[in-house]
Amino acid sequence: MAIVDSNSIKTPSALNKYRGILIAVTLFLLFNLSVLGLNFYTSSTLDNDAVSINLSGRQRMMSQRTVKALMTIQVDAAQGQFNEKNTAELNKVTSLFDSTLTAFKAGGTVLGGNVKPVVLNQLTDTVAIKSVDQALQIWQPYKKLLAPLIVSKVVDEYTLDAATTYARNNNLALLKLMNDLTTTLENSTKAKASKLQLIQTIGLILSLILFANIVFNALRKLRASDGEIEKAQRETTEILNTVKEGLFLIDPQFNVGSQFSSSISKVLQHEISANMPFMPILGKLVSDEIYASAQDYITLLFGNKVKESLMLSLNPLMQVKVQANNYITPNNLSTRYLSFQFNRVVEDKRVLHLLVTVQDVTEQVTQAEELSKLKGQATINLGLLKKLLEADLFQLQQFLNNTKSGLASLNELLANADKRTSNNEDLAKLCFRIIHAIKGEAAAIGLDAIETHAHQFEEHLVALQKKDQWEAQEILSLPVMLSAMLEQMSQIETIVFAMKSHHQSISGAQPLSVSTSVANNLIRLAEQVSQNQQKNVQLKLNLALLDHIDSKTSNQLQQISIQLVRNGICHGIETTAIRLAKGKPAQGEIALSVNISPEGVMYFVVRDDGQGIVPSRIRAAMISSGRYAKDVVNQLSDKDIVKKLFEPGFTTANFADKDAGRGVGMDLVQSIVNTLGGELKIDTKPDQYTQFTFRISQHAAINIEATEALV
Amino acid sequence: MKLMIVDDSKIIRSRIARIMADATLPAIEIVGFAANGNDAISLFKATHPQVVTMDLTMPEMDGVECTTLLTELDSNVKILIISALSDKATAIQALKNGAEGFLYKPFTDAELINALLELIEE
Amino acid sequence: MSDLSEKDIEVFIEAIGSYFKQITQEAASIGVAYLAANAFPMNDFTGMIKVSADYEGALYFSAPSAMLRHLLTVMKETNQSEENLLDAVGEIANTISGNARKYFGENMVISIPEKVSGLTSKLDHQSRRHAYVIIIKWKHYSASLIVDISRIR
Repeated sequence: MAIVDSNSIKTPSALNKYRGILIAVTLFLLFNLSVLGLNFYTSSTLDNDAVSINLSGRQRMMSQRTVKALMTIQVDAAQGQFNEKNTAELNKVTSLFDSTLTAFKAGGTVLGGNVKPVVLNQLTDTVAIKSVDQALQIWQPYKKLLAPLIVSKVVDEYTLDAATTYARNNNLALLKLMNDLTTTLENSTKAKASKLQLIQTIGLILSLILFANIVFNALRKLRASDGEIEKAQRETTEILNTVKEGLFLIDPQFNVGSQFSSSISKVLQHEISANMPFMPILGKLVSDEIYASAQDYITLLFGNKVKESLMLSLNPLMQVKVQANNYITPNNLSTRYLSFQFNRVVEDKRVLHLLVTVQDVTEQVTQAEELSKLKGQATINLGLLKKLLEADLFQLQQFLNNTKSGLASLNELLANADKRTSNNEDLAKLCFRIIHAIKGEAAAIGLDAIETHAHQFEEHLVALQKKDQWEAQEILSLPVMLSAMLEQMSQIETIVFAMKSHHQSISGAQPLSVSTSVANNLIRLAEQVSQNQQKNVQLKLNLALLDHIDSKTSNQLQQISIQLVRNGICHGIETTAIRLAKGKPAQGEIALSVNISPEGVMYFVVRDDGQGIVPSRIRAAMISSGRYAKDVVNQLSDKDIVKKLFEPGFTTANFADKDAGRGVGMDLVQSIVNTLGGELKIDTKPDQYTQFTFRISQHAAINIEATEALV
Repeated sequence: MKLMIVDDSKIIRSRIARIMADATLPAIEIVGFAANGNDAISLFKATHPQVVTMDLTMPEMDGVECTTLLTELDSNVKILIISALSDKATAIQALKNGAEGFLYKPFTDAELINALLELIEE
Repeated sequence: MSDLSEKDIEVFIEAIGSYFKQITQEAASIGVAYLAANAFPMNDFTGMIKVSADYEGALYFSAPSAMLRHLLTVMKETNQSEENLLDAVGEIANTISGNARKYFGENMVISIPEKVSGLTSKLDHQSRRHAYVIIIKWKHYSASLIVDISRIR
């Protein structure tokens, strides 16, 4: 589960997201502004046009007032009167008419209707110019004729007549021209106004289109982002529906958030809904103590004072045993284990939520518990008990004694491991020898459980032997395995003790003699091994003398026998098919005998009628096993090859099974012979026999006269 | 900044002092040692340290109770719990009652210095 | 009755190893490990923690005074009184108990360490027939870790 971090939630750039819309809106505004500007410009020219129309209209009036003033002066003059007012009126209207007309022609400032000066632009319209030009042609002579009348108070009749006549002749034309000008100007303004209207209409339409575009785009964007949100929500829901863990948020009020994984109800065994308070749910699951601790813990998490990493290590709900609830599986009342994990969801240093992950870890926990229970546990099963009941008590006692002393010396080896000069490999080998002997004996009396245990111990030792350096756990594994075997042995001891007292008190029967007991043991072993190896072997035993020697020696001879019988079956006796091919009896034979010479020297002889020890065959086997280099093997003499058989770890088997393959058997035999203080001689003939003869010197062990009470 | 060391183990007390001395943290000045909660309270009243390292399992008065009382005396005091007992409930109690940092025993010199610096910087 | 696994026992050893590593920059390592029934290699100073709940028994870390003196020297502690040596062995036991608590969880209840000097080679209350003895090496010193704990549930 990733740790939720506020930094990882990136705000997408708002600018980026809305760029399209922003551009469209800007364009829209720019466009509208320019249309507005154009409007402003056109309407200002229209204002100017209105002035022109006004003034051109005034010209019509002025032309008429000129005529009227002229007529009044003429009437006054006929009566011999003179009115200053009329001359002033004539002056005023002619100068206004003149300046206005000149301004129409060339542009200029004239007095407006309210006696304020207004600017009149030069005319551009050709029709209007033509009207003005024609008017000027009439006006210029008219103006000259009128000028003396304005200046002089004394009106000369001739001048007056000339002006009046000119006025009568041209007044209408002038009026018409000024009328034409007005009409032309009005028409041009109308045209401009309708052009403006057109521009405004087009602008409006265009801006509407732009606006529609903006709205459309914005909607599309919104819909797309809605879609994204929807998609994200759908994905979140999918995750929450499929995830196995319980996932939910809790807010600072300890309420469950609106979204949670669907498995949460199952994991917590409690129906969950949004805004449900979390603590009561927890209260039903865990003990009061843990509940209190969890409450403090969650409060601390929201406090955001203590570092998250530290908080993680303090989580009281890391692994909690929860009380079974009959919410989903009414019949399942077994305990469950849950693991809660809390992660802060931080924004601006404030803890907004806690992300809670809940896992059902029952399986892991119980598995680990069972494993640790199983590990090193001494298993006593019915099979073992049956074997113990069937076993020969004397053999069992022997086995217990041997095994106990074997394990003790193994422990001794472990305790003094660092005081020896030997390395780990040697230590493993020495331990191996002891365990191997125990395994052999266990197999002989049919204690499969012990044999299996010892076999596992052997395998472990083999693995360790290959390592130069042992880890702490590997060093520890040896006493742990030893402890397990000791535990098993002590259980067997208890049973054997009970059996013994039972045996004595109930039947009082005589126990078997040592020789019979050993014989039974070896026969059982031979049956087992030959069955495993799929061979047909019969033992021929002459062990009566064992009843007359000390128990230590007889015990050791039995151990030698176990190894040699096993070896004989595995390596000496051929399969039935091969034997028949060689012209030998189908059934192989291993003969064991204990004899004493007249000089008091004891001979222990083990002889099989198998393939013999043939150096060339051993060489070939060594090479084909892949454990030895060809040139090294070929350099060894026949004597060296036979010696090899007694070296620890020597084997030609490609794999080890319970019976053989570890290369420890002969090494063990040699070490027992050494402790007995005897000599070992090997005779062999290819395809005929192999014979091991132990010569045990008198002082070593034999005491024929003083027969011990053996049982 | 004044520091008080509370731990029932004398060698831990002197080790913390030694680490402080070696690290030559000019900001920190040790004002006293206490071997149990009771001693820590009286020493606190006398010296007014701003920072305290606090063991949890101590005779007479344990670290949680001591933390609570020290915080009541001065809500600004920074308390670093140092304990070997990875007993979550106790640690949470101490943090809830005012401690702000937590350090497991055994600790290295650097771990202690870091924990203290973090505590002060907050 | 079932046994501890090598992994369980390793937890205790790791605690000691890391204690020495953290404080002295030189880890303590495992020398030999074997079983003992009655004679336990106790040293001058011993820290003991008792366990209960799913387990029973006790664990002892016993170190010779020379080793503890050396440890104090590395820690630049000049006062090497018996009290401080006991303190040191107690701290190590404390660390072991901390790690064990973490590893075994609620299933193992662990007492506050007791510190004793001059224990005999016999245990007062032996829980196992054979307890584990692990010799811990640090520099040229040997300390003993005795694990007399068995799982009862």
